[in-house]
This record gives sequence, C-alpha cells and structure tokens, in this order.
Amino acid sequence: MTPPPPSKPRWNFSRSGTLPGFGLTLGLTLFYLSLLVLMPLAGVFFKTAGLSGAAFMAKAFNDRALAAYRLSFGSALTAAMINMVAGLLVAWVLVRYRFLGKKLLDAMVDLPFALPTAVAGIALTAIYAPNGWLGSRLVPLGIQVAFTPLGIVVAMIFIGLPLVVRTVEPVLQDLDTQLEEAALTLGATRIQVFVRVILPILLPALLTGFALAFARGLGEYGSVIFIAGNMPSVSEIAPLLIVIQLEQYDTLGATAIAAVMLVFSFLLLLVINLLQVWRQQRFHH
Amino acid sequence: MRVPSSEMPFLSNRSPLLSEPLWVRIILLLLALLFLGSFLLLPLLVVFGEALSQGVTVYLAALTTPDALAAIRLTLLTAAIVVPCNMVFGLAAAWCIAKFRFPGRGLLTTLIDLPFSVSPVVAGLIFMLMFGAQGWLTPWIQTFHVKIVFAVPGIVLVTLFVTVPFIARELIPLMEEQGVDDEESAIMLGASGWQTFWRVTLPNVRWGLMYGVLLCNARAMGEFGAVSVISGHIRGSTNTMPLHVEILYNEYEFAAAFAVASLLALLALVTLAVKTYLQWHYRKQLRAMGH
Amino acid sequence: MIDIRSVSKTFSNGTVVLNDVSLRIAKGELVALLGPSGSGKTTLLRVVAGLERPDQGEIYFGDTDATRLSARERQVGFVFQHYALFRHMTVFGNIAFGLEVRPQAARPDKAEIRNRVEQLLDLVQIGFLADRYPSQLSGGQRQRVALARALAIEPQVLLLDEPFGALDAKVRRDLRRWLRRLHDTLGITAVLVTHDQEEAMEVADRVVVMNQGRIEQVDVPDHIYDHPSSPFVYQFLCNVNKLACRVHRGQAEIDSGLFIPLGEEYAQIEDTPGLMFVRPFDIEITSPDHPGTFPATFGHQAMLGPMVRLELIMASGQILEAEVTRARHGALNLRPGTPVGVLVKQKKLYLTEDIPVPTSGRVGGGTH
Repeated sequence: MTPPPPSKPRWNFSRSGTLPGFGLTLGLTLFYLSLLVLMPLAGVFFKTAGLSGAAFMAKAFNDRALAAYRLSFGSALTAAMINMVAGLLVAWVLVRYRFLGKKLLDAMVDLPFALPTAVAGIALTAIYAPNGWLGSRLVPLGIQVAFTPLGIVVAMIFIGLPLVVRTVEPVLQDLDTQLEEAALTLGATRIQVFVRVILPILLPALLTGFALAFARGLGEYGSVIFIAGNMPSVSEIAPLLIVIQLEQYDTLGATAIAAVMLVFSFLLLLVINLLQVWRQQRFHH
Repeated sequence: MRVPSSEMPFLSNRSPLLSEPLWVRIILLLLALLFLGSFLLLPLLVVFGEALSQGVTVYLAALTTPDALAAIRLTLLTAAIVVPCNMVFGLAAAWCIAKFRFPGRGLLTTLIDLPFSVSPVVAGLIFMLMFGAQGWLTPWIQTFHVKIVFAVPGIVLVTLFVTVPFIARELIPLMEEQGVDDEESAIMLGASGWQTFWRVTLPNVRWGLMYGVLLCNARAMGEFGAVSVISGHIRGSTNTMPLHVEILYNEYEFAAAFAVASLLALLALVTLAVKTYLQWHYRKQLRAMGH
Repeated sequence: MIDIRSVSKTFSNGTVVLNDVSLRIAKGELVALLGPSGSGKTTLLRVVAGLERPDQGEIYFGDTDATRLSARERQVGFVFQHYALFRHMTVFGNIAFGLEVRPQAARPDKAEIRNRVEQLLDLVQIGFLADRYPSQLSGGQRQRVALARALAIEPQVLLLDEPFGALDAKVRRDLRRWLRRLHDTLGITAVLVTHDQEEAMEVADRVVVMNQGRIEQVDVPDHIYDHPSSPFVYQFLCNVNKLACRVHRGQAEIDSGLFIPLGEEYAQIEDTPGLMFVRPFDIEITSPDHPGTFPATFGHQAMLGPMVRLELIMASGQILEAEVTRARHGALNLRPGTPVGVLVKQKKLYLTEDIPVPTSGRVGGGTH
C-alpha cells in the first residue's frame, strides 16, 4: 500500500542549497499544525491545570472512570494481541501463498480503514446480537458477544487488524530467502527457522503493529459503542464516558478523563517511535 | 534475488524447500480465510443484507427522506472543504520535510502523525473546550457572529483535525525517496520554484497524492466519534451520514439505518477499488522507472 | 567425494539452467565453477547443497545417494554471496547457530559450544568481533563470519557462492589468498562459484568452465589456460582478439588481402569460414618494414599498470588490441597515426563448422 520508506535516509548531500520555498512551506505547516492540532490539544491541559490535585483525582480516577480505563485497556490489549497473531497469519498467507482471489483478499484487508466506524459498529452488532447472524448460533453455546466486553474486543479486532497486517507485510516481503536457506543448511528444522530466524526479524514490526492496534483500540468509539452495551462500570469504555460526561455538561470531568487518555496516547506514540528507531538501528546495514 | 523454480508447490510461491508441508499451508490458508471472512467480509455483507431486508422500496425511501438528503449534502460539503485544505497542507509539509534538512524535522513529522493517536472523542472534546459554552475562544469568536459548536464549522474543524496526517504521510516518504535531483536539475535549467513544483514535483508524486486524497476523503466522510461530540445531532442541519445512521439505529429504524450505512459501505468499496487501481499503477510506474 | 551424475534442471519459465552435467570432485579438493552469469554455476552449487532439486540426475556424497536428502540432512557448509548473516544475532550467535539448533542428543553443551565458536573465531581471525552485530562489520569481516558459521557444523563439503563478489578489489585479493591457505590447513572438500577467471585460477585445484548450463572444460588452471577446449573458454579466460577469417589452402585471410600462414593441417582446406583468436600479448609490434608482419596504424593506448594496451587499426578499420611491457612501449615511441608492423606470435583457429552450436532451447536468466 504505502510506498516503502527509504531504507536509509540520504543525509550525505545537502538538500537546502538550491531549492526555494523552505520558509513558505515550513511556515504554512507550522501555522496549520499550531492552529489545528497544538493549540486545541494544549487546551485540555490548561483546563485540567485549573483543577486542584484532589479535584482532578476525583474527576479522573473515580470508580466509574477506573472501570472504564480497565475495560478500555483490557479490551484493547486483548484485541491487539489477537491481532498480532491473526495479522501475522494473514500477512504470511498474503506474502507467501498463491491462490485464487488473493488480490481480492489483499484489498479487503484495508476495509476497516475505509469503512466508517459507525457502519462497522452496527454491522458487527447485527451479526453478534442474540438474534443476529452469528449471535443466534453462539448464544445457545453460552457465548454472548454483543453487549458484553467480548463484543468490545470483537470491534477492536476489526479496526486494528489492517494496522498489524500492513506493518508486518513489507518486512516479510523483504525477508531475504537466503537467510532461511542459510539456517536450513546449518541444520535447523522449519520450526527452528521460523522461531529463531523469521520471528526475531519480524519482531519489531510485530510490536509496532501491536502498539498501533492497541492505540487505535484504546481511542476507538464508533465501532464499539453499538456493540458494547454501555453499562456503567461493566461495558462502558473510556471514550464513551467522556461523551456521557459532556452530555451531562460536566466538561471538567470529560476533560480530566481526556487528559488521562491523551497522556497514554502520547506515551504510546513515544513507544511506537522508539520501536521505529530500534528497527532502523539494529536491522539495517 | 528470487530464483524462479521449476516446481512451485501448490498454494505456495516459493521453492518446495522453503514451503511448509502442504497440510500446514492448507490449514494456515483456511484459518486466514475464516478469520478475514468472519471479521471483515461478514460485516460488509450484513450491511447490504440488512439494508435490503425490507425490500427496495423501503431502501430507496430511507435514502430520499429530507433528513437523509441533508446528511448526504453535509457529508459531501465537509469532504469538499476538508480534502483540499489537507491537500495543500500535505504538499507544503512534505515539501519542507522531505526536501530540506533542519533541526526538529523528526519532531515535526511526529506532530503531523499526532491526530492518529488521539481518540476521535478527545478530538471532538478539544474543540468543545475552545468554542463551547465556556470555551476560551468563545468570547472572541462571538464577536464575528459565527457559531462553531453544534454547527457546520465545528464539524469541518474536527474533521480537519482527524484527517491532518493522511495526505502528508503518504507524500513525505515518497518525496524523500525521490530526492532532490529532479528539482535541482529543473532549477539549474532555469525553472522558477513554482514551475519546478508544478512540472516536476507534482507529476512525480501524483499517485501518492491521489492515494492520500482517497484515504483522507474516506475518513472525512466516515468520521463519527469526533463529529458526534461537536455536532449536537441537529437533524437536517448538523447531521452527517454516519450520525444519521446512529440516530436511525437508536430509533430502531434498522432497515433505514442500514440503507444509509450501505451508501457509506459503497463508498468504502469504491475507495478500496480505486486504492487497488492506484497501487497497481504506482507499481507499474516504479517498474517503468527501473526500480 | 562429490559425484554429480547427469544433473539437469529447467526453470518454470522454460529456461534450461543445467543440461546433463556430470562432475566428480575428489576429497580435499578445491574446485572452482567458473562461468558468466546465467551459465548455471550457482544453480549447480545449490543443487549440490540441496537448495534446489534437480529434474534429473543424482548427487552422491561418497557412497551415499544424497539426491533425496534435504539441505538440512546433507551437512554442507554454504557461504552466500551476500553473507545471509542473521542480523538479530551477534557474530558469536551466528556462528553458534548451527550447533544450537541440533537435536538435544547431538547438541554440545554450552561450554563446548563457546569453546568451538572461539576456536572458529580465531581461525578466521575475528575473535575481537564476537559481540558485534553484523551491521557493525565491514564486508570482508562479514564474509569471514559467514565462513566460520558454515564451518561450525563441521561440514563434509564447503560450498561458496561468489563469496567475494560483493567486496572491493583489494579485500577480494587478500581474502582469496587467505581462503586458499585456510583450505590447505583444513583439507576440506570445497566448491567455489565465481565469474572471475583470475580468482578461479588463483584459488582452485581444478577449474570447471561452465556455459549455458553445460560444462565446457574441466582442468587444472595451467592446462586450461594453455589449452582452451572451445572458443567459449578461449574468450572467457582472458581478453582476446576475435577475428573472423576465411581459411584457404594453409592460409587465413583476416582482412581483405591480408593472409596469415597456418599450420600443415589446414593445407587441404579450401575457402572455409573460421574464427581466429589472438591474445593481446601474443602480438608483437615492430617497424612496418619488418619481414613477416602485416601493416597497421597505431591508434591509442591505455596504461594498465606494468603493461600497456595498444590499439592497432588494420587497413579495413578493424581494431586489434595488443599488450606490451612498459619498457617495450617506451622503445617503440609510438604516436597516434604511426604505421607499425604486426607480428602474430601465437594464435588459435577454429573452423566455423567445428564450433558447437548450443542445442538447448532458451538459456540464460541467471540468478545475478
């Protein structure tokens, strides 16, 4: 999908010599970002800074909020882990196997990027509701998906899958077949080749995909709220709690929770960037 | 350096030596198909199935109610404003980041990606904080007699926020890879900065640009969480298509909800089709360039 | 030790890469497979390693039929052109890999592995690099690691696929000599693939020249150089002047009206097309009036270290390349346009009808 990033940035020639437009484009970029992204985000922290420590704790870490964080984190973590395995499987099949309809399957992996989350949400609910397409078959087995935390995980799997597949796929594609051949001539079995050679090489990409899927699941709203059931402290995710607080005109409460979520988003962003650096440093000649 | 092999085994595109045993291949493939089928394909089918469950008449009626038409218009309007804005931004950002070296370059790239990691609900909230009832910019904005929250400008603003990275992050790696040789030659040959941009840079990145526009458009039309917070859900006025779907769904008008949803699903399918086409074109171009 | 019996292989796109190849390699011998890209040399090596399966023919290691054995079971050391080192392991980890993946029963204990790896590191003279990652090494160091890794499993056979191909000229020459000495110390049976004739001649006990999926000639380096068995080998071994000619009653007409006398065996041949090969240093340059020479004009020159390459233009415009020592060049005192006499000291003639035409269909599309 995305054109592969260059393996090595070419630092060795100066780029700023002859080309015009640096000031103009940099100015425009900074202006746009400040106005649209930085200033509004800073607002959250200004607003919460107005709260006393105790008031902030009461707003951001009351029982209902804690339950919401736990649910959001737990579901996003579970979904990201499932996606890490499933995403590797899908990427493996797409890169290494040849079969009828492969192109179609490849295009379909991006569906969660293209399908509006609300549509995904009502469709998943229709499938897993007790009277739904799959739900009606699962409920007799004692598996209730919709309106439970399990439903939240299902929705998060849906939206996170392409993130893992598209991160792992190019690395798997570029994997030198000679590495596997070398391992085989050295006496490794196929399983040893996978565990000791292929998996370690894919690991940074897998972790990046995991972190991306986790971050996406954590903030997800549209696809989750329809299937979640939204029972306070049971199946109420953190973003939903923000919306509910806003609807009850508790702007401060919403902001406090948003601040907590933002801090986690930034931490995850940092982790993802560090993973990227690690990948660059250790895995490129 | 893949050696073409005389015997590519069934289902595999590598030499028999590097392929798993056949039964493993079959199982892995079936698992992948099962997973993708139940998690991706099934929801898509359900949308169309439910939409048409009450017949074509109900389907068409749901799409032609004044509220539905208003929602469609608003969604198109939002995309029409958001996509060009982010296109200009994306080109400017990619130009300065990919063609120049300056301190803080990496930080700037991360900043551009920031909206990706912010929950859509938080995105809506931050604009509420600025322009809402007690917003810190509300007094100032009121002097212009403009309403932002619970109005179209707010919807446009939050949509701009969530789609900021889409075009820029397609263009930056592409422009970076292409380097500055072409542009420098054009400048040496006497082209002006604008001429260089229009005649050299833009044609070079056109596939990546279209790709970014496509993704940006899909997200702009489909954004739900952020818009939901700021729109106020005023029917016929601040309801976008995804919000309209939600309202219909919550009112148990399932067929109507899925009918509007099917339009959005269609948008997704078109997006995927065009995306596949663009990728194919892009690869062809790469090959033509001798990569 | 290695017995390759009538091995053939065709790729799925119809390319015949190996066409009935047979070769015996003795124990302890170092053999070079030499040929242009697409000649099938790398594929032959991969067939021996078990990385490719032949369509026909057998591979024997000693008395064992290895044709059906997997690469894992063959116990061959394989050194790849681009090293194929595991980037996520240190140098130590790379070399220990082959020992660590052994089944429990055959696996040496940790101390034993450490010991063995250290010995190998000393052998390839990179003990100080044990804890580095491959990305921190130079090309020559990486190739040494690759070699040590291949040797760690105590292979019966060492296979090297263009091992120095990715290195620059100086490092290549050093490593080449070092490999030869290493081979003499270890006495391991080794097969080396290369497209560099100098490398093959310098390192190998025997050279196997391959072309279009067939073996053209197998011989010791001296003999192969002095007695190339085909026009292909002649041209491939070194830079050579190739002159189309007409053979008529003991003479070859290489340019209109320009005859070069041939041996007795050509006395009876009338008006037959042929190809004459003359190596650049088998051409002597004299003054134009010297008997037994033919005239040409000096064109231009290139300094090649101790030798000087001269371009000689014949009457028809055809160009001959000659190589002379610097001393001789100084004595000749040539200027562009100077008329000279050309004396061909040694030559090799092939009649066109005797030159084998490759029978295989489509050939080429190699791996490089």
